[in-house]
This record gives sequence, C-alpha cells and structure tokens, in this order.
Amino acid sequence: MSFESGIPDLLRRFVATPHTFSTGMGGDAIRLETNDLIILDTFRSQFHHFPHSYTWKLIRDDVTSTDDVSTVFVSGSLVTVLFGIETCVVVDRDCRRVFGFLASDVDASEFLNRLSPILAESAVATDRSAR
Amino acid sequence: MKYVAIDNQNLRYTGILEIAGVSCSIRTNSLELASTLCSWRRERRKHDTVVFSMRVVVTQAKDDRATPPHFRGLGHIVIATFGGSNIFMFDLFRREISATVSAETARTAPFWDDTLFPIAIGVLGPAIGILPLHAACLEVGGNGMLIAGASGVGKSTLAVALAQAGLNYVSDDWTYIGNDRRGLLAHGVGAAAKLLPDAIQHFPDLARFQLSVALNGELAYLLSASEAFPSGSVRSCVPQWFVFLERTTGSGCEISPIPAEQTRWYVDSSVEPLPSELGAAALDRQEIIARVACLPSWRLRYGGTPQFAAQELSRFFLQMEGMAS
Repeated sequence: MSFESGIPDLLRRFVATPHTFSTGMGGDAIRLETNDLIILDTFRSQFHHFPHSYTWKLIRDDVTSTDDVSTVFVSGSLVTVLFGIETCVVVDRDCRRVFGFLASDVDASEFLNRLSPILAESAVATDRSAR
Repeated sequence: MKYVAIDNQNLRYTGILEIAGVSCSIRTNSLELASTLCSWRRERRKHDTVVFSMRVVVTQAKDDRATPPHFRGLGHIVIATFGGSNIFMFDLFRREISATVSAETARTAPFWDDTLFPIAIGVLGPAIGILPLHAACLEVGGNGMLIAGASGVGKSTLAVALAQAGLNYVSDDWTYIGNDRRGLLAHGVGAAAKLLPDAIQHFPDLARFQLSVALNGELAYLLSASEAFPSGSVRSCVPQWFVFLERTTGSGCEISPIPAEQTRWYVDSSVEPLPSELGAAALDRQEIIARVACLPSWRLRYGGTPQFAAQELSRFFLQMEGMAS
C-alpha cells in the first residue's frame, strides 16, 4: 500500500479509480469513480435512485468488516456513514460529493439495499432543507 | 443504527486550547472532557485568532475504550476511528474536527495527549501552516536541534540520551514546524517518548517503567516527558540545526556538513503527498520545507552507545554555539 514515490499511502488517498460512470448534464449530472467493477455495475443499474448533481468516489478497500453496527454521524454539511469501521462513506452536502471506502465483503446487495439508501437520504435531506 | 448529530446548542462547554503553537476552539457537551483537556487550555485573548476548531459529542450509551486507529482519507476529509464509539472526522477545507467519543475515552487523558492531538496536528498540519516532520528535537541554550533519520535508526534513544546529558527534550519522533514572519518554530505536543524493549541495555532505569502497546502496535516503553525528564523538557524552540542520523557497525563518531539540497530532499521525500484539492496547503508546506532546508545541516554517523553519540553531539554543538556567539 504505497504511493509511487515510495511514501506509504496510509490513508489510501491515491488508490487509482479507473472505472467511471457519468450521466446527465449540468444540474442533473451524476459521476462515479471507483476501482471496483461490482460497485460500478451496481451504481450504473440504479443511478436514477441517487441524488443528482453529485460526484461519487468509492474505493473498494482490502480490509474486511469486523463489526456490523451501522453509525450515522452528522456534523454541519457532512454526513459520515459507517458499517463497523471499515466501511466509511462521507457525504459532503456543500461540495455535493460522496466519497469513501467499502470493506471487501460489502457485496452488491448490501451496497444497494443497505448503504445506498442512507447515502441518498443524507444528500436528499439537505436538498429538502435548502428549499 | 446509531445516530449522532452535532448541534452547537448542546455543546455548552467551550474553550481555547493551544496545541503545537496554534489555537484551537473546542466545544463539547461533556464537563468531564473539558476537565481532561485542562492542561491544553489557555485564556481567551482580546484578538484571538483561532486556527482550527474541534467539536466533540460525548455519548453515554456505551463506555468503549479507544482501540488502535483505523484511518482513511479522500479529498479534504480524513476519518479516524478508534473502535466503533470513537469517530473523528477531519475537514481540511474547513479546518474542523468533528468527533463523537465514549465517556471512557473522554476521561482518558493519555488518549488525547499521546494519540489524538499528535494525530490531529499531523492530519490538519498542511491546512493550518504546520509541517509535521519525522524528527526528534532537543533544545540547548535557546537553540533547537532537529534529529532526522530513517525509522529504526535510533532517533528516540539518541533524544533520550541527549536529554539525560542536559539538553531540553522537545520530542523524540515527530516535531511540528510552524512558520511565521519571525521564522521557524519547532513544537512538540507532549507525546510520550517511545523506546523499544531492547533500549533497556542502554537505559537500565527503564526497568521501573511498564512496557505498553504504542500507537503503531509496537511494544515499547512510553515515557512521558514530565516523568522521564522532570527538569528538562520544553514545548517549543527555534530550530537552528538539522542533524541527519546514520548508524555504523564500527565504533566512533563522525559529524560532517551536508548541503541544503540533501536536507531538502530528505524532508520532501518524508512528507505525505497531498491530493490536488489541497494545492494551496501544499504550497504553504513547500515554503516551510525550503526554510528548514536552509538550516545548517550535518550528518552524524556513529557506532557505539547512544550516550557516547550524545556526548559527542553535545560537545560539537556547544562549540558551534560558542563560535556563533
């Protein structure tokens, strides 16, 4: 797990995300960057459920879940969703970005049925409150 | 599902902390946490400039002790979790830390002193004008000496030997360099000095300390500055010299000057890369690195005991200081 300079990338900030999906234009645009084809395919098949004008970056991590407890932590315009501690995804409602890490054992079903609704609701809640 | 939301109205305990020379405003719902952090507090000033802020919700639901950290970061956000009940969100754009911790963690002073604050300054450093430098720091006669070198080369043992030889201890592993119009200032954050178990051959007094698990999972003697160097530790100093430490298998000690480019290369190659979103912070950091590289720099190569190297290095710098004055 190291950056190309040889300095360890301890935070995994520089994991390459070669798989991308984007649709829509302007205020309707949605874009995803990921390193994982399962995430890409799942997202692509269900993108119409996700809030518009958000940019997503989801990294498939190489660690497995050690706990199943889910936590939602809200601070201002940031919402952090954790499953255990290994899956953590942040919604930045001001920057309209969703980014985070999915543990290696979070499958398509869990991503779709458990994680995505919380993330979508976190983003949509702001759109509602902003009106 | 656990749901925690930070609401300023519920965070009724507020104050100003000073960490690595920068001011941090804190808000929390816990009087116990406010009390735990009292050694970091300072009085409010008329024209206070708060550099970053921290909001901490202490939950009563479960008294989970903090476990070794799990870190991840993307863009301007870094998440650090210390078990499921202790979650820290660092926002480098907004210079904010939002956290939820257990009551057990709130009352555990060593967690904040030795773990959280060093991590906070390390993570937020680029955004708040601080360069976290992998180097020990000692002070003598008002002058700071930074001691850098590869992991495991013996920075901590040399730092402890220098402190025992009469220099003031600032830090043994990470030093936080601030930069303003007056120049550079090197800070420690009071984190415990870490000596590996085999250091006991050089420091028999370690037998009175217990081995503990350090932040990186290593078993080590963790020596608090107040306990280990009661008459000789300071929080900050003006760095004047940079020493790059190398070990040799033979005996003897050699101190030779090294060019600024080499110092710069070392510092450049030891700092964490930053994502493109933090370009402005990266430029500020480069300015500090350039100033560190301008410090008079030496390579110290030695074989033998850390006490021997400490004696030689102290003598060398006392001579340098004498020549300068």
